[in-house]
Amino acid sequence: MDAAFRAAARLLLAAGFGITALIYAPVAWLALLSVSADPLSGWPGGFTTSWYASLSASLGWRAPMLRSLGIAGIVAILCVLAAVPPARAWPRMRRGRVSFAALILLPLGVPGIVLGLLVFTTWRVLFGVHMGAWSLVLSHFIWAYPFALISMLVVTLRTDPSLAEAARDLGAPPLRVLCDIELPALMPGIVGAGLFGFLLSFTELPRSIFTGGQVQTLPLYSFAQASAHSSQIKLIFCLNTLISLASLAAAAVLVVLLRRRTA
Amino acid sequence: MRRLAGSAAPLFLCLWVCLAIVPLAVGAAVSVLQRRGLHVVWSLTPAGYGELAESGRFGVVLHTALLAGLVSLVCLAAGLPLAVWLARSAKSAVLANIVWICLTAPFFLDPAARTLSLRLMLGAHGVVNAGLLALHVTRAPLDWLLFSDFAVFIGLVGPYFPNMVWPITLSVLLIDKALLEASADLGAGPWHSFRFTLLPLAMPGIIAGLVMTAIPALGDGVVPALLGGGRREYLADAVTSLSTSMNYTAAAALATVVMAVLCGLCLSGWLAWRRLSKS
Repeated sequence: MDAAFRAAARLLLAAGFGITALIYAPVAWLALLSVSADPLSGWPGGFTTSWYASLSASLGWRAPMLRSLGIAGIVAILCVLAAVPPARAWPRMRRGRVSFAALILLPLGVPGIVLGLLVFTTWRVLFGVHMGAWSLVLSHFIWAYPFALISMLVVTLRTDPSLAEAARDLGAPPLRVLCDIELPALMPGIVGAGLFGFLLSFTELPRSIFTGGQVQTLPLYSFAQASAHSSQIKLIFCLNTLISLASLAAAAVLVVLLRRRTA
Repeated sequence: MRRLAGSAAPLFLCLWVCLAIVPLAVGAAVSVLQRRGLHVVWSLTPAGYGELAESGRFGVVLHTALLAGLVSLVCLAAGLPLAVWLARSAKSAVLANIVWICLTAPFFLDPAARTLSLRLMLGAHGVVNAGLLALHVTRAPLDWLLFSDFAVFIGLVGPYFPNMVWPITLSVLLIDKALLEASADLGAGPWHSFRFTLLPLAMPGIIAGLVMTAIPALGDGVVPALLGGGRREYLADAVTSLSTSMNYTAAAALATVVMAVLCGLCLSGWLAWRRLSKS
């Protein structure tokens, strides 16, 4: 029994590494194709950087890119501002923890495209409000906030509350305690919450399909180009290779920050 | 400052409920309203559900749910050992860190780009078929690799695998090491330690992982659009086509059906967990 269990566990662990590799195979292929002469053939070869040159000359992706950056920046700031107070109060909360957490996590229990449709129906059809950048920001916030809150909680639950108490006992005013003691201790969580807000908004697609209205974000632009077999598609390869590299770097920062706190 | 926090918290919760929770209930309400052209009229009718039945959308929900269920089960089977390894037995900190980074980055990758790349790999002249031909595994290119349920499955397993591993790893990390050592000291082999100590204690993480994998997989629109080939409709296609034709009552009815299915699954999962933890 135990020998069979051990063999099965080892096999499945190998499968786990295999699936992790499966995530990156298309990304690596994308990067290879982005420096190939004919990316759409699906075969790398005739290596060239000319697509990157046309990317820097092309204009179509710039407006969606700037728009996505702006929206993601606002969502990141909102996430940090809304995640810090409840995460600070959490260790001292006597009741209401479970219902608060349930309320925040509930929207994650609905597929993004269904949530997008429901948010759209509520605002557009029932209230008659037009969709635009504001609804993108709000729908992205609903998506990213639970993740931002969790990454703040990872930090606040492991921070020693006696440090702030000691500062208070020594006569420091509340603002001083916040700026000099609590914020530096919370910094990894703040960076984590901001990164989650920024990156989840920057790559969000299913909700944006409904809440974007006429406003096109970068993932909407990529998806439209990818489904329409447009001539811009070769530039999408380059653009997304660059974005993937940046995402990997950001993920590395996030992991190192949060793991240093929890180790 | 405390007073400020005291009034800000209820305000934030009110906003959150209006923005994120009310829409969940609105779907059920709109789904039974009457539709006249592009507008909804304030009178009740089950016509939205009738339209769903006529266009075979219940079957679409069922088929997509089965596929999402299969994806989450495969992710669970491969993700549980990986999560235990990450939380418990990773000897090399560098390797563990690399795996952590690899499992974090997919949250931030552009869905359309990597699915497009996968389509080029799986096509008749793609690298996978070329590899199989070169290894003499098959004589002709396999045509079911792309534009099929298999392609959609492959497209979904990768991106949502981290959603399974993360919560399980966190819950295994929270298990007190002494419990597992006690179980081994008392003579339990690996299988019994796993079945009666680790598995019950990791159950909250496993359930969170199942929810976080199955739900986005159920609603994913990019993978069916780029890898499904259009011969078969998936849930996201149905939602998009109903709403682009501005049939909001039927779209809301579809959303309500999905939420009812999910509630049913949650309830049965909860009952199963209670029975499991009693035994």
